[in-house]
Parts: sequence; structure tokens; C-alpha cells
Amino acid sequence: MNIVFLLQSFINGLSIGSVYAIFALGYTLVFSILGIINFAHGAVFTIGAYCTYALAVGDFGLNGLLAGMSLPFRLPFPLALLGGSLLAGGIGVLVERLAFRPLRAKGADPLLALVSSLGVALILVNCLQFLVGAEIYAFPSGIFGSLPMAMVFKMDGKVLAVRTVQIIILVVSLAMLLALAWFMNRTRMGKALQATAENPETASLLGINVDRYILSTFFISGALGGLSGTLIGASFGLAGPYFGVSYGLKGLAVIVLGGLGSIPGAVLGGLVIGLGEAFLPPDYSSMKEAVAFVMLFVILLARPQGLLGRQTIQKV
Amino acid sequence: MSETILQLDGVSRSFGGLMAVGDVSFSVQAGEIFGLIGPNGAGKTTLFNLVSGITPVSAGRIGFLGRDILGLAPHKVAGMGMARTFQNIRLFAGMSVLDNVRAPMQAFSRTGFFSDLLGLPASRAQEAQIMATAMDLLNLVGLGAKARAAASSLPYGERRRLEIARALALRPKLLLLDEPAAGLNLAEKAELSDFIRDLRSRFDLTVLIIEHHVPLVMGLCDRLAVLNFGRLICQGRPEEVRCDKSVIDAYLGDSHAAPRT
Repeated sequence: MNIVFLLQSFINGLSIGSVYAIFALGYTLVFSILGIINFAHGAVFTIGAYCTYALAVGDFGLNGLLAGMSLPFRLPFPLALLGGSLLAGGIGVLVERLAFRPLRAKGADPLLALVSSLGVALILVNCLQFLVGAEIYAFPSGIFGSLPMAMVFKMDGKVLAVRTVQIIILVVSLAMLLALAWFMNRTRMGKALQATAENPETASLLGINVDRYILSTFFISGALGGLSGTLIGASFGLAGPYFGVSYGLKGLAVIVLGGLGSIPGAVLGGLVIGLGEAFLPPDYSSMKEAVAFVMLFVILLARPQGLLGRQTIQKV
Repeated sequence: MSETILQLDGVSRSFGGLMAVGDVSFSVQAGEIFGLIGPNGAGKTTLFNLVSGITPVSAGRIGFLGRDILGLAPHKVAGMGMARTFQNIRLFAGMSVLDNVRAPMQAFSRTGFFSDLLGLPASRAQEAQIMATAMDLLNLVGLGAKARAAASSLPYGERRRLEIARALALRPKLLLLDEPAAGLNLAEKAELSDFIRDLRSRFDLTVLIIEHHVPLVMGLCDRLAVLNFGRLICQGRPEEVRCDKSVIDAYLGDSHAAPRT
């Protein structure tokens, strides 16, 4: 252990943790308004990453229905990121329309929507595989234009390297977090959304169009999913249509750890797990995927409601 | 009192085999304070749920402001000018007192989403106006000083008043009050009648009120309807209802139905 390793781990953890946070917020928003986990969120994450890739790089690889085709244009990365996120938001809206609203309209048990969202997730991921194949895509190195790939600092003879993509991730994620906090707390639409989350029926009796706010929530959630998928993809590549599955599970660990339905909880949970992974000694790096769940296990033993969750008192 | 605000024709609702509300018809005229009374389980709150659209009716028709509102989404009915409070108070506990009153005003937003997001002058002017209206309402119910407090921190009586302020934020024509006096002490109950009358004249309201506290109802309401086992057994002015034999039977139990314990 030395100061450079600590600093390097801290930067790595903060960067990845902030993506976990915005990804997990997508789960949290839907959960707080409907009281169910949207299992299609991992699929939206994946599709968002592929959409951005398509917009920025323009071709679709060698397998699948779209093999050999290419878009007539290429967008610069920031615009592609925006476009990919908006498209993912659209997919989120589709998920609500296909998996959630029909069941809600029939007054079905909310738990059933959990199963139907899982089904929609499988369909989406398989469609994606059908279209673009199962190969691995990676954003080309020149994606950030003239920015260098990394900044390298020398300290005490040791090397501290900060990749440009890490900084981009950190900046974009923090900006999203601030924007979301501002939206929820300062705008009237945010207030109406909170009211809907607290009690949809009461909100509807106060003239709030609940279905519209649920739809907006799925759009925001999907856009956050697509944004985080893109950022992860830009950092580690797009490892096939199923690469969202493990992040989907990790996102669940994040929200349970932070406290279900709590927005600050999702942020804290994301940072805790991101930093926990980053501070894993290099010798054990193959255990990285287990970190989130070990932490989840330990913390839930001490605080069953999660770090910032509210203790629910069952009223009889 | 000419215009009919609310019109119920043969409204029924059953849950499984249980007839919660059966064939109820009455109408409420503009400017009236109309009372709905009846023993526990008589179907009064169910009737409120039917009128406000959160429970669909099994049969019958409900007209509000001359329009058939059956099948209309609750937020649309609310937007037409019907607001309600709840027997078991339902505030947005996680929000401040002020935000509870501001949330329903979303429905009146005339500026676009992006205008709001960017804080354009039109949005700001509207926000200032909403703020002023919300504060007026809070001052009216005596909660102006607690605007920034969490709604969950209020004592019981103040929660009731906040719920009324929140309902008024919808600028309703018809206000449905579900047992507003429940849990209030005697002094508060005494103030409540004057408060409701004051609201009626100030906001040009029509009020439909469910209440158990008989002296309050008799003193406050212009007309009453009495429900028992989901059926309308009597309606009329308070002095007529008070003397009606079926009402006395329903409340005190007639010699056949109520075994003494």
C-alpha cells in the first residue's frame, strides 16, 4: 500500500461508482413510483450503449441482420451520447407500455409486472443479438477527438494514470446527479412526480395525470440507463448483447444496499460499491464481481433497510 | 340555488356479493352544504370514491357540472373542479407543507416543460404566482408560519387543515370532505362549522360532507342524505331528517334488528 495506489484506487472507484449511481437511479425512480423493480433496466442499459455506438461509429459489425451495413453519418461522441440516451429513454417508454401499463390497467398484482419486465428484457436482448450479433464491439480510440487517452502523473517514482474516459464518466455522471436533484426538488414537475411516488391515487385525485408521470419516469430511467451503458461501454467495450446482465444485477445490489426507493441511497450505494471494487488488492481482482454482493450481505446484516432506507413499519 | 352541481342517478356498487352502495340518487345544488350521514359501514366513503372516480360504479350515472363523468380518469374529474379530503388523512408525508399545496397546482401549469426547465420569465412569473396562492391558502388555514416544515411533523388537527388547503389549491367548485371533524377536540369542532361556511362564501364552493358528529352536521348542512347498508333511506333538511323514523331506527337500532348486548 502506498499513497499512489490509494489515490489511483480512489479515482477509479469514484469514476465507476458514479456510473453505478446513475444506473441505479434508473431502478430507484421506477421503484419509488410503482413499488416494483424494472428488470428490463439492464437491457435498456445495453441497448443505450449500442445505440450510442451506432451513432458515433456508424457500422454494425460482421454478424446479425445489420451486418455490413452502416449509417450514412457519424456523430461526434457527445452528440451520440445524447442521442443514445434519448433512444434508450424511448425504449424505457416502450417497456412501460408493453410490460407495465397493460397489467396496471387490468389491476393485476404488481408482482406480475416484475415477471413481465423480465420477459421484455429477454426479448429486447435477443432482438439486439438478432440485429447486431454477439460479437464484441469497442469504441475506437479516436472517439474523444483530440483529447489524449490518459493523463500520466509521476509521484515518488510510481505512475498514476487517469484515463480520459474516467474523467468524462465522472463529469457526466456528477452533472446528471445534480440535474436530477435539481429537477426533483426545484421544479413543479419534480414535485408532482414525488407526489405520484408517495401515493398515486391521492395524486390523481389532485389533478395529477399519473399515467403521464409514470411514462416520464420510465423515459428518465431509460435515458439514465442508456447513458450509463454508454459510459461503461466507452470504458470497457461492449461485450455482446448480454453485457448488461451483470451490471443489471450489480445495480440491484446498489439500490438494496443504499435503501430501496431512496435517491440519495442509490448514489451512496453506487459510490460505496464502486470504491469497494476499486480498493480490492490487485491480487484478488478476479473476485471483483463478488465485491458488490459481499458488501450487500454484510451491510444488510447490520441494516436490513439499507444504508439510507426508511425502516418500514408494518401497520396492522 | 338553481344550478345542479352533482347529480347521482341510481348509483350502485357491489364488491363480490356485498352491495356497498345500492341505487342511490340525489342531487347537490350550487352553493349548498350537503351532508352525507349514516352508521359505520353504510357506504359513505365508497360513495365518495365512486363520485371522485377512483372506484368504478357497477350501475347508475354520475353527472358533475352537467357532464357525465363515469369512465373519466380521476385526474380529469379533479381538473374539472372536484377536490376531496380523506377520512384517514393522506398527505404527502415526505414533502414540506408548502409543497403539499403546490403539487396539485401542476395541473394549472400554462408554461411548457422546457420553459420551466430553463427558468424563462413566463415560468418564473407563474412560479411566483403559484407560490403566492399557496401561501395565501396556508395563511387561510393558519399554517403560513409552518410552510417550510415537513408535513409529517404536523400535529393531527393541523394535518386536517393542510389537507383542506391542498384540496383548495385545485380551485374546486365542489369540495368533498370525508369526516373533517374526526379526531378534533371540541373547540376545534366548534370552529370547523364557521370555517367551512367561510370557505363556501370565499371560494364560491359547493360542499359535500361526510360527518358523524351529529350536532355539527345539523347546524352546518343545508340538506342531508342518510345512508344505511348502502341504501339511501332519507333526504331533506336537517329538521326533517332528524324526525324521520327510518333514520332513528338506523342510528339507534329498531326493536327487531338490534339485539341488546
